[in-house]
Amino acid sequence: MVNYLLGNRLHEVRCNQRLSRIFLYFGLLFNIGLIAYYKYTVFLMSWLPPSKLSVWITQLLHPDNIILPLAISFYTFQQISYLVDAYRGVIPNYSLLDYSLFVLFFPQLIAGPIVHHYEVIPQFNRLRNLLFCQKNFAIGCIVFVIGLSKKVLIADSLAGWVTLPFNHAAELSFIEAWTAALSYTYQLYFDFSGYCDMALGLGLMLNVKLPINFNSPYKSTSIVEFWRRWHITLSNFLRDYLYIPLGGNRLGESRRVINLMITMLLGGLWHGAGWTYIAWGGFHGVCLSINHIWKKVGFYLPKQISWLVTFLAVIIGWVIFRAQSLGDAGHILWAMTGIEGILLPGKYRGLVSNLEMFGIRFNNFPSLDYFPGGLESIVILFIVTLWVVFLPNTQELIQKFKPRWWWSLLLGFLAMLTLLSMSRVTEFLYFQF
Amino acid sequence: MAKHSFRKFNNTFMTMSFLAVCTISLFNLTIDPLGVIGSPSIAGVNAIKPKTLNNSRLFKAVDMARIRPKSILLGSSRTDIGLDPSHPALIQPAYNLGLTAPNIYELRRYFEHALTIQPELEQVVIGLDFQMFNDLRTPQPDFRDQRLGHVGIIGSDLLDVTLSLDALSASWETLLRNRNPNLPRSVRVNGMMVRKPGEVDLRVFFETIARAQRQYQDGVYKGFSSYENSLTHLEAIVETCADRGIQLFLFISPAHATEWESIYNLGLWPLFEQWKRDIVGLHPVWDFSGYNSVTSEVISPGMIYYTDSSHYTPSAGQLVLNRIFNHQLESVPYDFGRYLIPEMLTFHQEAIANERLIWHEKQPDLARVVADIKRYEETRYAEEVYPLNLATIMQAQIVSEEPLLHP
Repeated sequence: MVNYLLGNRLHEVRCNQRLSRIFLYFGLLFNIGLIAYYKYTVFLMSWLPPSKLSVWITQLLHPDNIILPLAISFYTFQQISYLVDAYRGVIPNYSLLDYSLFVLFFPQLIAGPIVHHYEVIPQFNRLRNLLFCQKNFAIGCIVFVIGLSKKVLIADSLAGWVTLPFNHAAELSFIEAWTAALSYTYQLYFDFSGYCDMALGLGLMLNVKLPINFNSPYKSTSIVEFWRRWHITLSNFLRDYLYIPLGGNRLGESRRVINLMITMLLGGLWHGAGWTYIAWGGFHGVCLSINHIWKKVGFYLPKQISWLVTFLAVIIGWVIFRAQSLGDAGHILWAMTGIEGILLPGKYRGLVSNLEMFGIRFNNFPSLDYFPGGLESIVILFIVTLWVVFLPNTQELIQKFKPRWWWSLLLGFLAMLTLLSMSRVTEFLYFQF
Repeated sequence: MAKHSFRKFNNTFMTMSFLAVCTISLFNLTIDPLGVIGSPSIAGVNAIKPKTLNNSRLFKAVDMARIRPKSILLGSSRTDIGLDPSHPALIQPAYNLGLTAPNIYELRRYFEHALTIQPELEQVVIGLDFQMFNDLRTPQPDFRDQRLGHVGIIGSDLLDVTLSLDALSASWETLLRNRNPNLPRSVRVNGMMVRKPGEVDLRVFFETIARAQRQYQDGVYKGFSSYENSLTHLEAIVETCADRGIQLFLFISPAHATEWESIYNLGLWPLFEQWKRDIVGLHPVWDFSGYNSVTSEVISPGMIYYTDSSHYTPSAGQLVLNRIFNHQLESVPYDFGRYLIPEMLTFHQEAIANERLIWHEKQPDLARVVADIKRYEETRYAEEVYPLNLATIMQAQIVSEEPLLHP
């Protein structure tokens, strides 16, 4: 409501630059203040040294009682973009109903994409969009079911290989650290791309086309390309409302690096209140800066090597992102280097015993306690790697869609499998005591 | 034309999905692999339900309403396997409400559940295990608070047992098992897991000791230093029984001596003794722990009283119930089961300490093996130590002529 009224006021006073700037700053402060209170109070308070002041602030804010409103990160960005556009005078007068629907449109509310008002509000009013469309419904169903199955069948299964090793970061050996890092890399991929597909599919069933947010990011051959393919709407938002207003690349190379770093550090902080998120953002800022400098000096690597370097950088980033602390991230990354020695499960000694010549050691169960998937996980992670690098993504798949009976058979089977995987009878798995 | 095709596509997809959901639900409802729906039991189709073996928290919660027992046997998997609800001393109908690896809060909730369903409950026997009382322990993942306290199955459980891959595979497994003419190794009778008698696998026995010791580092005993909160749950059970005039019998499970030795080696013995002191302060307890003639049974494939170092057999369970209920006392070894009351506790604890010394004298090799397992477990050389254990214990059996503690 506040944002809508502010938007209207900005629309009205856009000729008075001083006044509109005051309204804009107030709006930004309001939105950022809200998200800061709900999302970052506990984190910010952890910076305060113990003192009377910190006790007073704790009593005032009761940080333990703060319950994060659902999807605040997403709609805050949407509303900020709305206010900035109102300030720039590029929005028409929307009705309160349209505006509320734009902010609360359920297919994209929880997990994005971060949509622009001009991308969706006009669609709400198109008469044709109010009619049921068999084609949109069919394609929406397919995209939704594919998205849901990615989330339920793949991401949720991979999650089982992630939690345990990341909870015991300091004890991981080479192979445990790598499988944990890769499992998380793919868990996040399928989780997020699943959510993006579901949002797109739901929107399409209601005849609303939401922007594409995910475009096979692990096919990228540079970090710059990665950010054009991963969370596209977030990258666009950060570019349009943070990086460019800061000066972008218009003020020279050093300013570009500084702007990139600020943008990515804040982008990291947006993902969560913690040092690991900031470090992750900073790491990507550094990678992007290096990438730009390489480009500037005309340094190019063969495509396969570029892909490998990019992918490794992305994995390192995700380890920092997922670890419970920077210390944990350091432990895992250190184990991944193999400097401490490479330890493989003893049962594979017979298969690859020659490796012992190269200093690779074999150990016996239960020494590899944090290798929950075993050999199976290595095979699956290898297949998944091929999948994300070579197979078409949902958008590309949809291009090939024809309303044929076998498509409905395939989709029905996938939907059924996913539905059945959503509930489970929790068994007591080990029999002891 | 195109529009027509999309319509056909949508119709086919929707119809197929709907039919598939109905078929799978119907199949699962008919087979009822966990016995929670109440579908008719048909020989050769679903009469044997192997999946109930690992789903005690779900099916026992629902089963209570069917049986409405006057007596319940509560406890961990030790109770689940070892205590027979058809024992003549129990008021019938009796039900074995043993759960796998519960904490005491779970036991309290299942006790309250039983009481809600059967307000005429007359008798409660609880097998207490020390590790249940670790304050750091949380309920197992298959525990759901909301399924307790009312008759019948709750919505989320119903969804799980009708529309899930687990349920489908459980139904399929049940169907296949029922087509197999051989009798299953284990079945459920009045809640109890009844196992076919067989030889004890020594490797499994020693692995259980090792696993138990790992539990001190990563599992049920991890960080065990306090049981104050857990004790309040036992207190609540004791008070409710007193208020309602329900007979309550508490006993400490008779795990094998190697299990107690593990606790001793890991430095938890003083806490264990203090725990006994505190539970005895609430209610008298029958103590079957320590190094008595049943718990010191020689480890061999033909063991009578144990299936592994942690779980006792129904034969030992029978002696437990006989002792508690003064039933056929002539069958119970004289040193099996001490009635603990606060005044006698110190005396009993000293007696157990003496028995431990005797056990060490009589079974020095076994005592060394248990200590070795601990040492090796700490350094994580498990695979090397198991064959060593087996060889050592075999050797020890050949050398020791007649173990004095054996009945």
